[in-house]
Amino acid sequence: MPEKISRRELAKRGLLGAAALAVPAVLKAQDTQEKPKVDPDIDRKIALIESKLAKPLSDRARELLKASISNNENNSTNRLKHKLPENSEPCFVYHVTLAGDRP
Amino acid sequence: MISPLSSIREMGQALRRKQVSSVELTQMYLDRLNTKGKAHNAVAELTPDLALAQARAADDRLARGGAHALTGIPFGVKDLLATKGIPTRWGSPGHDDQVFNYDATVVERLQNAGAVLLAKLEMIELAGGGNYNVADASRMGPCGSAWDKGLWAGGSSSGAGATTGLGCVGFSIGSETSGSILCPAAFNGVTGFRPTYGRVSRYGAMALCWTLDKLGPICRSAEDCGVVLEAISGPDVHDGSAFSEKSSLRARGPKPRIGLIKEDFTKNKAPAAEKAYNDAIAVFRKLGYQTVEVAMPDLPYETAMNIIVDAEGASAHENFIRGPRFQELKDVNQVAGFAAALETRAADYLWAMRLRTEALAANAIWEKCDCILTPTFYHRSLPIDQPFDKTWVNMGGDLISPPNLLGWPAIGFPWGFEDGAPIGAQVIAPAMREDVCYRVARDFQRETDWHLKKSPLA
Repeated sequence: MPEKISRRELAKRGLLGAAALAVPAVLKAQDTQEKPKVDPDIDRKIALIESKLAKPLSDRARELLKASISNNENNSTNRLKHKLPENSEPCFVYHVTLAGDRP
Repeated sequence: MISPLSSIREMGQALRRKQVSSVELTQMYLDRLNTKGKAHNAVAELTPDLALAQARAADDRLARGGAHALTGIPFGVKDLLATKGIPTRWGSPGHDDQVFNYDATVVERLQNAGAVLLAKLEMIELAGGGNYNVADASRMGPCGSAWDKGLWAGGSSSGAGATTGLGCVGFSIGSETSGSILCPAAFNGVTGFRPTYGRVSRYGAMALCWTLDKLGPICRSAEDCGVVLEAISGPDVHDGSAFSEKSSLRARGPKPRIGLIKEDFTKNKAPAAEKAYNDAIAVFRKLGYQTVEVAMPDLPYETAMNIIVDAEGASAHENFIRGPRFQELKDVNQVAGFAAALETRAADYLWAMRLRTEALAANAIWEKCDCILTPTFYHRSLPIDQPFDKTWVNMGGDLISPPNLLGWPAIGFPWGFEDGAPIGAQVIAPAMREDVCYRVARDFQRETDWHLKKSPLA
């Protein structure tokens, strides 16, 4: 067993979800077997996110943000591998209530 | 004087027999929180004046008779639960001046039962929704395990796990979005009960993920967890997701059939966990339980979990993320994670929520068994001073995310040791069947004494 395992292997074995909270982020920058593709648009994406923040990010945060963006894009890509039935509903539906009934 | 590691039942009996007063119990735990709890970075805020006033009221109530099982029992809550007039900082340096003017429903119910609020307990900042990578991702610093200060107490309900294991509280309340009760239970040798989503009102709890967050007890036994869960569950007009009925832990039907999934002890170099697992199965068979091999449907649970945590967490905390104090978060990984999560796509989130509908097919597993027994993790806790991406290896935890996505309950409890620190198991049951988790764990604890082992630090 390799001492470090790939992000894909982590996800397969259920670690990444756990990593979100219970367990630390095993993480987004950990993948040593699959080199992340260089995103030619990464600087623009970082600038876009940073423009929403009250203060500029530190160099270290900006570096980690790259990994986080890449990770989120992997999620977007990976989820397409699992086709859902056309028109299937999400696990919530809108419940009509009168305004006064809202908690 | 009563042992600080006593069960709720033992403390209750001692209170009723006037062998100890609630004020004495409260003072004992306050002293221990001040020393041991603080030394483990497990305490966010002590509430001594409130606690002693509540203890005096509890003693009066006990003297009058007709008290609740929790009357006079001191407890602590994870610092994500609102407490009237007491700082509620969510483990975050950026929220250090936050004070609510109301109590969370769980806190209110415990206080109405006569339990005594000792302290707010430290947690991973914002419940770790930004993807933390160090134990130090917490306002008070890294929280040490009840068994070894050099090991992490687990997260995100770190202080609840550590103080319960150290005997600094009678019991505690934690929360779980994806593993945050089970992980500290495993790493501190205590018992944690994650109820079905909706069983316990979330009103007054920090939201990380509205569709995933659960509150539950962390105690020193399944029996204690049962007492606390019954006190905090039930309908709440303030939380639309709360069930209309309280939980009932009364055993129903024949002994539950225990489902066993394929485990990889050898691959994960986990002989201690393998021994604990085999020994536990032998205990259950001796008790008359049947086991059956089962498998969860292979679905991209983790991708869905990641997307939901990003989307809901970034939305719940958007004002903070966009605000001037965001970068006060202690772990820069959290800063990067929350910032990136602002860009989560609606199509991705809706795919994840549609996957949860499809994943309901996993309920077919309950046609073969009534619960699943599996190690919470394959190994004990990790060094407190090293980043997790260097140490989180061969840990397993495959059945943390899927049951959380499905809203299923689970109880985590100790079942052995690895290199002097506890390792734990979990029993997962179908939605609304906390009674199955409770029955199986309680039977195990009646037959074994792992939950009674005392930390040398306690």
